[in-house]
Amino acid sequence: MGLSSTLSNALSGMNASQRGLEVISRNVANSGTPGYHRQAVVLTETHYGQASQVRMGTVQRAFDQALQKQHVISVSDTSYHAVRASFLDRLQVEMGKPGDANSLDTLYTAFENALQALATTPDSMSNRAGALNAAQAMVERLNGLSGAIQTMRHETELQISNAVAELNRNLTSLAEINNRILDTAYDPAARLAMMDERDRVVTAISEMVDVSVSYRDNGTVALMTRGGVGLLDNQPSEFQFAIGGAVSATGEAGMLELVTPGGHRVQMNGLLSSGRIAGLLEMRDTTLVNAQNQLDEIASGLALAMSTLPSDTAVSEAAGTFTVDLSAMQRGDSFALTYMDGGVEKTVRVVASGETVTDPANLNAAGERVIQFDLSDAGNAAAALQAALGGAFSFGDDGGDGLTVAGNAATLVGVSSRITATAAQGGGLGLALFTDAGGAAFTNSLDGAGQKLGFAGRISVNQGLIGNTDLLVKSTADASLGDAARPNHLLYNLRNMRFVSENITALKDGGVRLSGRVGDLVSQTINYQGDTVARGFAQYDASTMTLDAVISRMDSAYGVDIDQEMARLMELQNAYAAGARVVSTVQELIDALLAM
Amino acid sequence: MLVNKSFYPGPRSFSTVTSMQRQMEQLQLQLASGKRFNSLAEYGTSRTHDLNLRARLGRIEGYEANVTTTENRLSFLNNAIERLDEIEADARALAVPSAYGSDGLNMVNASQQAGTMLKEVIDLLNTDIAGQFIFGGHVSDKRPLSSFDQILHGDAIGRAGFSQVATERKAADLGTAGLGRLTMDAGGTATATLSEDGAHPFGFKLASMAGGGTYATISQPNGTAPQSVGVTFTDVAALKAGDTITVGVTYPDDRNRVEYVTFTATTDDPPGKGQYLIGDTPEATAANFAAAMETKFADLGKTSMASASTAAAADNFFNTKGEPVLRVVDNAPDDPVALSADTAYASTVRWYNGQVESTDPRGTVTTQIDETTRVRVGVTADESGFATLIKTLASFAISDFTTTDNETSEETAQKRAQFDAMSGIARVRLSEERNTTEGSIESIALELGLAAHTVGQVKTRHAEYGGQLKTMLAEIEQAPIEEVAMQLMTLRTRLEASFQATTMVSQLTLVNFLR
Repeated sequence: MGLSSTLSNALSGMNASQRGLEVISRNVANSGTPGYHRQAVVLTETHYGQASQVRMGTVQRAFDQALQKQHVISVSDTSYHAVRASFLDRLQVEMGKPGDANSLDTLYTAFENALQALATTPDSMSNRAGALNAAQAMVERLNGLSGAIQTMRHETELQISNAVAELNRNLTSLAEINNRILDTAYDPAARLAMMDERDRVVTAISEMVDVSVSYRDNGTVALMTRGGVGLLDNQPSEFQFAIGGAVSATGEAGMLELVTPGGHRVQMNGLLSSGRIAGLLEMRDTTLVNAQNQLDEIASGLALAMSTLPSDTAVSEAAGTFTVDLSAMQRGDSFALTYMDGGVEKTVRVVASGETVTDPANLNAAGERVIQFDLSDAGNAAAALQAALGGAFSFGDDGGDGLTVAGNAATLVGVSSRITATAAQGGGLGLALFTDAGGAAFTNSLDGAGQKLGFAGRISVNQGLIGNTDLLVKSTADASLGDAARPNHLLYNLRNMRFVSENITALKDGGVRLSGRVGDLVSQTINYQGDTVARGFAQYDASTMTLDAVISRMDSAYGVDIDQEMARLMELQNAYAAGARVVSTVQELIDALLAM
Repeated sequence: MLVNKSFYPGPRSFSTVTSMQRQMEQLQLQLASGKRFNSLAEYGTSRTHDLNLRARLGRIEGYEANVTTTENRLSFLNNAIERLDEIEADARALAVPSAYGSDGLNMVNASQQAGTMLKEVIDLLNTDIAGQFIFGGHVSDKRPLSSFDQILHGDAIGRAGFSQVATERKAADLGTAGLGRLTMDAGGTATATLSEDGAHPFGFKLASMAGGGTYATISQPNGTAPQSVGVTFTDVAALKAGDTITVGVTYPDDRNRVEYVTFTATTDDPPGKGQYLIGDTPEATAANFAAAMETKFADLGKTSMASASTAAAADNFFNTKGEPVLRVVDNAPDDPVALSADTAYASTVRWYNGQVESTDPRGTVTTQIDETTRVRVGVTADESGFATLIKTLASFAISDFTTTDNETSEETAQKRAQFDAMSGIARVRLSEERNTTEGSIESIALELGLAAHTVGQVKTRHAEYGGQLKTMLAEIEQAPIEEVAMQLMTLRTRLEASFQATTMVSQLTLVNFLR
């Protein structure tokens, strides 16, 4: 019937307006809520016979899957670079600017100049004390920097464990939300609110680890890392992280593991490519380790430059056969055989060591083939070396502590030794000015993980010199205090001895290997660290800009524009009023009809 | 770090405003500190250059400190050497042969003045800079020279000083016979021989004999020690008064200097000094000749030989160039025939306690004033210039030329002859001709002067280069005030405009217009 269909039309229209008003009010109320997606009413038209009606379809939530995925990626990257930038900022404050009073390059120059003054006037007590002071300042700075780096590594572990706890919480709550979304008995409005919550939690998870999200049709999500490790399907996996105790250069670091719902354990160190946890891991395992290695190179170079005796020490030659005196060798000391092989000059370096390495896979950074042997007994050493190096040389024992070498198949060009001084007097011109922890000598021994690892934190000035500064000058007990031979030797070594680092940074970090004299090592370290910090900041700025762009896109896609809602409100208001008018008109008509 | 929580629909302009404010803070910091970079990362590509510049500047500052130290040392050295040169001139003035003064005043004065000058020389060579002695090579903690008393008179533990060494040497050179270790004999034959009494380094050594002719034949020394010469008189009738026979002898202070002693034939009886009576027979003439030689050499022994002996003793005692000190070996009751080296200084005072460097004294102390420039400023007190001066002064100081009241005229004449001989030796040793020999005071002064010149040049070079580097460093690191101020002003304008625009936009909302 005409009137009743008019009535029902008007009523359905008013209903629709009511629903629309409800949605508008929800939008306006949540216009400031982070993570809220704008909702809109979808109206459909239906008709029964001659009456058509408006029926509210669904409330649609603004959602763009591609934008969402872009957002997740940006959040991960920005989080990764942000945590790196914060640690790198602290690192650069520790290192100081070139020319600062406690910057490594200033302290090194002061040390070199103090040695120079000592070589000019060795008999002046103030010069000797000045040299020791400069050495002490340098050592304290190296120790301090090393300690700061290890403290930062420890902090990364604390932050990782916090992040892992948060991550696990978020994964569990996301699994719950998935379940609730699946349950269609829920009120649609509540479902939409849960989907907002779902997106928020996904973003929170992506802040910690890089995720790849798959949105299913029923509204649930499945999470994987970008590398393909599943995080959440039906049930969440759990991250586990055990702090590795006191973090030091030589200690073990904590391990990150993922436990799947089936109980399978996956080691995650290196499988995460972005996100806060990956950033912390990268700092702990790569950037800070590089910094520590570079400081260790500097410390090792300083110690070896001071204590290395001239390269012809303990080597004597007679008619083409060289004799190396093994009694002076400590673990870490070595001698090098230079020979001609097919017109090319090659070097084999034999290092005194507790472990035996006879066939190294690669040449070391200086282009030498390094063989490690126990050189405590000349006879055993001769036999073992002969077995290891084959027919190129012939090794022998001279009956005492000497090892004889003569060229056999190969032409022996020369033998040079690298021996560190042991006693302060009577051992030659070298002096153990810097020692390892507890007064032990630093010989760059290759045993175990290597004596160089973490040495920057342990290096100290030889305590025996503190009370007896004459030892800086007197290489024998009856030398005169005005004889500048020892200070000149120390200075010559410091200015001319070259070191090459075995550690090379990753290609993405520049592929930098420290090489050169001690002063060059210092400059290269400061330069590299400054570069790293600058790069970290630049990457952080770039990712922040990308994130800003994505967020403003999301703003315009999902955000609530108050003006639009107000305009819509006015429309609906008028529509409602008009519908009400229609109803009251129909009412009057019916009244008129009934009043007849 | 609120990454996704910053979802709050604040317009993007807010975040740009925040970043502008941060930029403003940074510019303010630059203005306040005057430095363009306030953290390590900000250096960017100029970091490497900055590090290199700073390393270079540090090196230069180190070298400049060395330059100052070297200049200090050189000035001390030059002061001492100038004064030593003056003393050398004074020593020359005091050793003038035949300038005896009235009643021998000069001769007495010479001894005392030499002593005073020697004390001053020892003090000068013991100069120190804050306790570090500069004339001992690099041995700077001991006095280079022993004290005056120790050197001349021996020390408390019984080691011999120069006086004792000189006395021993004089006795050895003179011989118990008093003839300067020569024997002369005619032995009743017509041949008068003169020979050294042994193969040893003491006394006269014969070099040559000349003369003769129809009346006599001369036999020359045959080259093997002990040498001897002889005159065989053949024809006395051919011998006339005035004919001379000359013997060449060397003294122990300088075996390359031959002095000639002449014997003239005379008919005077008794013959005078250096004359021999022509006898009737060759045998008598030979005997007369031998007697004349004996008188002459006895006289020379007391005069020239004594002074030459003192000079030789000075050469033995004041050893230089790494040679050991030599002492006369006692051979009682015979005359000594050997010198022995007292390498451990067990019985002889060591006059020089510093570093012994015979080949390169200048290289005992070197300082590095630039990357490859080393100046050599070492001086050892046993270099030949100083040693010669000390030897001469010591010789005069221990000699006593004082005339006593009751001495004969002959003794006075002998003392004068000694003085002449000693002065003669001194004049030769201290002569200006020797200024060019290595180690003389003048050549040391010249070498040190060259070093000072090098130091001065390098100092200027460092100052200039350091200035250039500092300028380059300032260009990198200093914040250009005008630029920073301009940036601050433009930033302020932009900020103000942004604030205005933000306020306007926030007012423009429909809500304000709904009734």
